[in-house]
Amino acid sequence: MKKIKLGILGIGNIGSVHTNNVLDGKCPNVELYAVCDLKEEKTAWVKEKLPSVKCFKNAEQMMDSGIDSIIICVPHYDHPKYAIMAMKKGLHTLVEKPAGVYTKQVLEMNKVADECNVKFALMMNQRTNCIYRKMREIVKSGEMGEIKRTSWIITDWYRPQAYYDSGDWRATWQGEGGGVLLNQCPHNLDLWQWICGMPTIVDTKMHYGKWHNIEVEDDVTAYVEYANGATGTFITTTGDTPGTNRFEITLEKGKLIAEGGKLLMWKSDITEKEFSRTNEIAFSSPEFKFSEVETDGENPQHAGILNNFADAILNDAKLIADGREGINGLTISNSMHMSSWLGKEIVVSELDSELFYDELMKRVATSKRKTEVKEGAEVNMGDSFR
Amino acid sequence: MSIKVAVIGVGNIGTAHASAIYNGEIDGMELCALCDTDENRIEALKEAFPDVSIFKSSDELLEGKIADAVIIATPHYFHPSIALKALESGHNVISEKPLGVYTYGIDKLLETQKRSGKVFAVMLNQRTNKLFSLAKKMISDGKIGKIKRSVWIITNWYRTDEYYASGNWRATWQGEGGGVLTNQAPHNLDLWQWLCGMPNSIYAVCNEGKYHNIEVEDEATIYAEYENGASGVFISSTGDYPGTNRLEITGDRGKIVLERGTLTLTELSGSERDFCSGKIEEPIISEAVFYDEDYNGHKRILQNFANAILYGEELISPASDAVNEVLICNASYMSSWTGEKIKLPLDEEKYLDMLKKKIENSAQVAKSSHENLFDKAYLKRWNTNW
Repeated sequence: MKKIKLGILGIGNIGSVHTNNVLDGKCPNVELYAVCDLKEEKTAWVKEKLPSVKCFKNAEQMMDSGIDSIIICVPHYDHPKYAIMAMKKGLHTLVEKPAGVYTKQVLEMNKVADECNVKFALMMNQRTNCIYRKMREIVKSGEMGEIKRTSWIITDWYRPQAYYDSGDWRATWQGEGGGVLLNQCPHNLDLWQWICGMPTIVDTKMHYGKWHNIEVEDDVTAYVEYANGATGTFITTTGDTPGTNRFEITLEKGKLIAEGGKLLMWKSDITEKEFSRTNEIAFSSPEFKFSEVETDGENPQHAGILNNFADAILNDAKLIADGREGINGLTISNSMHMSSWLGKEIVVSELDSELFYDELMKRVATSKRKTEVKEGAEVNMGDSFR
Repeated sequence: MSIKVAVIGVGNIGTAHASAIYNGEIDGMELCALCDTDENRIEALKEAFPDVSIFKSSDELLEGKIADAVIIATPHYFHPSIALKALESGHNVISEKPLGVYTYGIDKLLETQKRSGKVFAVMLNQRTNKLFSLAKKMISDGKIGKIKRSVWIITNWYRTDEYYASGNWRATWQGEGGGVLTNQAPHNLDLWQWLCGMPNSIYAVCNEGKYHNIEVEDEATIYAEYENGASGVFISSTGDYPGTNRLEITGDRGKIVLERGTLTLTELSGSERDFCSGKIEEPIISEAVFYDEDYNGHKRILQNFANAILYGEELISPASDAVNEVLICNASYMSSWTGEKIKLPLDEEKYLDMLKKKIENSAQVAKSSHENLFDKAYLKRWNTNW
């Protein structure tokens, strides 16, 4: 069987997940050829388990070592830098989320992707979730008409202070460039636009360090409008437990709710508008059918994205998440920050990536790396990647 | 012992109240008079209530002092002025919701009530709903601790074009003074403040005539902030079908979710705040579910009103806090009109000026009137609709 020769750049929490997926045999078309991390102990355990693996401390050296593909799992800010370097060397490139921290650098990365003849993918593992895939299929099919309202309450990203104290870069402008939107929510922002399309206007109320001793946002309420006049809300925080993950989409012929691992559908044969126009009884409403939608039940997550990446390289399969689409979720995220910083609504198509960069850098300049970091604080990332 | 009751404004809801009393369904109440300005209505009332005095003018009814208590069920704008006269002439008063369309002058009304020593209630019948009463008790008992966030998606107030055509006062600035927040959602705005307290600032987007050919709002998204740092979101519409009625309230010790006729209480064994800062171990989560039951909220409120007059029973919905939902509603309009976050207490005079401008520009087109409803019973749509 043909295999891709993969190098993993950054063997931190998430890099280890990818490493283990390959070592555990979940990715039959992937040969783990090389790993790279600044800290030797991070790669040592891989070597122990897989003696043939090449270990590096320098990214460029790994890129030149004979790999044909790479996963970039370094801190957010450096995603575009290494992706650009890898693609220019002709490597197929899979980037962890978010695509970057600010759109200016991601636009550059996308430009390089267009110029290089390589596969460029993004680790949007939630796109492999059967519930969200099915939701998208129903919405895109048009069987329920156009979207009227979207509402995602995604407040089950709970993190205690100990989590934030586990790394001096965590939840700082300098280290991560944002909080819940940049670290926890990229998946949700991506799915939101993947299923419902891009909003045209973003208006956000944001709180920084509201529930934790951090300088970035940990509580966000956003209101958006879409080109067709639909509206939406997005509510997230890392301060609520027990939180909620409930995604509701109202369409012309009913509504869809994804919650508790189920997809619920209320569907009418007639659009609400048509009904309203033709009925003659003041207090009446259309008939609708309620059902729990069946899905294929598959949810291969990170391994699924990596396998799709390999399949794209080997057999030219279509990518589940083309790297160029990473800019969408980030544009929403940047618009949210911009709305909060400038205190006004943002027209998404007019988001000024230079101004955003300047505003971000102002915050980076006064950013304080945390001093009270608890070295070796145990953070169980096992079930944090949802 | 029995009190003599007059109903002023005998339309849909007024007739239902009159019938309940006439049929002896409220202990201690006796229907003595009805008052309406519509000639056709008066003829119909004579037939339906043969032994009850009928008045054309509320002044005449009040000056005659034949009733101990009056029920005000006129169009919204008349509620405060009739209530004022009724109190001044020594009547106990229960007003339909909303207490007023705007809050300017309400303080004088409440002072008059205090001086008069009369009972003054507002028909906020949904406060008697089993699940909302239960939620109120749970919050008062500290079950979920200090409130951090509330989200109410209350979009199941569906109304058709035919509904809006059924009365020429409907959904106009002049006739009603607002749309979904003034006519349909006052109950929800009231319950929101009853359960979560009053916000200290409001930011809202109200879309006027979005789903119907009306000049007032048929969609609203409200963002509220509270003194203790909590935040809340309230989404309502008359254009969604089937729509949603889901209220979620999160505290530092748990969460209450009301949806589809159930209340789910999730409790933590300790405070999230203490867990976050590392003071306690991870709290244990427990869950309990409660179900709604059939009830007639209007009769409960009328009975409570009668008992308050006769035996000094505590009012479920006193006028003194029925003003709060009007404040939230007015602040939402003002925020939407100005694009600004509105601090509470509201500048009531400024709001009244803005409303007057809206009224001046009101189209007030006399629409075809199909209003010929003569249901004597309370309609199901006036109950909590899950």
